[in-house]
Amino acid sequence: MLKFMRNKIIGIEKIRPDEVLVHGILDDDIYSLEVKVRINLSDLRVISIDGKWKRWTTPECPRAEIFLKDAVGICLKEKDVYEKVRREIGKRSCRHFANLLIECFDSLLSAKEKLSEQTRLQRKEEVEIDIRDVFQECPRENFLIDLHVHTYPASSCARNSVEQQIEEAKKIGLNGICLTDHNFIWERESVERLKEKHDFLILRGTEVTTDQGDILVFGIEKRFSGIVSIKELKDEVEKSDGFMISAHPFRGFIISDFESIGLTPERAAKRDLFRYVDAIESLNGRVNDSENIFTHRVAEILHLPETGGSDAHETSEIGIYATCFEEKIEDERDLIDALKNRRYRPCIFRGRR
Amino acid sequence: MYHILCFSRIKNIYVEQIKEDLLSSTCYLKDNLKEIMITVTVELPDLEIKKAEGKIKNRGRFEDIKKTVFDGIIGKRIGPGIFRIIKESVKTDESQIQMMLEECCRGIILSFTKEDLLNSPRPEDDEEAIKYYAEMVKKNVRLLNRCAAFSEGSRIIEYAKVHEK
Repeated sequence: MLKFMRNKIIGIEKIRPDEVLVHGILDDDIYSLEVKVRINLSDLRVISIDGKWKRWTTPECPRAEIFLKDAVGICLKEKDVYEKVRREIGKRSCRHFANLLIECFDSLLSAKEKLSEQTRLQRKEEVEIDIRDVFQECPRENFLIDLHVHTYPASSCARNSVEQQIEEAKKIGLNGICLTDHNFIWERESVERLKEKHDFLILRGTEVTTDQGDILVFGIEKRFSGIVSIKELKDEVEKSDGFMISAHPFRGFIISDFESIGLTPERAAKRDLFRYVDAIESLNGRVNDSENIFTHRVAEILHLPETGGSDAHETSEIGIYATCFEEKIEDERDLIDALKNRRYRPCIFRGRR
Repeated sequence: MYHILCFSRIKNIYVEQIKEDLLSSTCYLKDNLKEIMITVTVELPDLEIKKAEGKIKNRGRFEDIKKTVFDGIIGKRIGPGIFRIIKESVKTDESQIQMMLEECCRGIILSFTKEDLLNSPRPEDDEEAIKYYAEMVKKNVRLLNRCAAFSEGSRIIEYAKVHEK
């Protein structure tokens, strides 16, 4: 038979570079109370304290809240600091508040190492990565194609029509674009009409959703739906003598640092996905700089060629990045030959604004 | 980084009557770095500690805490001086073990406080409650200056002083 239960919950959050807020709740069959303590991280001194009763016994228990202020200035580095809290806060205020404060202090002392590690990581994140140190802008005399463009309604997530995307691409000086709508392949005739109408190079590709991530595929006519097995896709592409590019393989890590989850380029390069693709899209307009740089490092380890594309879903995104070809591309066959011959590199074209 | 908890801890203490004359008090801790469980078995009516044991998670697996860690408290009674006994006789690298043993003992004490409170005729009316606690202080002087409620300036103590004369 349960005779008594007490629960304590402590949460620590960093509220300033050198300050934490420790929030403690104590709730048992008799008492219920909480404290919020601000503590300076460098000298481990209590800056302020706020406590509140939720449930107590005598009519004078609420007086205990007033004397909590005696904890201001206590230094957690002091020898026998818990004894001091018991003696001074426990007696002047209340021993249950003292108990909760000790739990808060003990949690912070345990957490300190973890917090220092996070500060180190944070500082690291704050180091600005300049993508221009890794990828170059491309001379305008090279042949520049945005290999990754979406249009509406072929891609329901896109905002602008194919006509709008083409007009924008021409306006900004690209030499061509590749239509890579999701699991959709444009009909050859439609694209020929668009080419003639706009007097502009328009190529066909598709972005296929596979069990190993999104793959840009060139040179196939088969339309895929749902999630496709990468092996099945590879077989189909080989039959058609096509080309497969892993699109933004490391997108989605924006909330956590690669290192904090233990992912290194060496480890990432071992992913099964890379056994099936012919190239890696290391410049993608919808991926942050550090993720693009990470992808580049993986491609270097694998000795796989790299491409660039905007992944534009609207006109303002067209040409942020592109692929720079050494030779003029006139049609899909030229594109696949050039891709297979590795005569290209990813480049910053419009860049992020 | 800000406004997201960087460290969390829960600590749960529960006291169970496992036999007519045996109570067990368990303290469980889980935080970002540790997971520990300590159980103390106490015999009534002397509140003598008959057994103490614990587990600590190490590399994903619970391991028993060495029994010798608890040798110094076996046979001791939960009463005055027990926290000092724990502090002086329980020596381990893991400081939480001492603190959790204290929590187990405190849980036992509070389980009786709860019973007392349930059985006491505590008045709901504020003024009557002041009188009730003032009488309690007069009967048990150890309560004096024990906390803010029983210190100088408290209505309970003021009432006790006035009615002492």
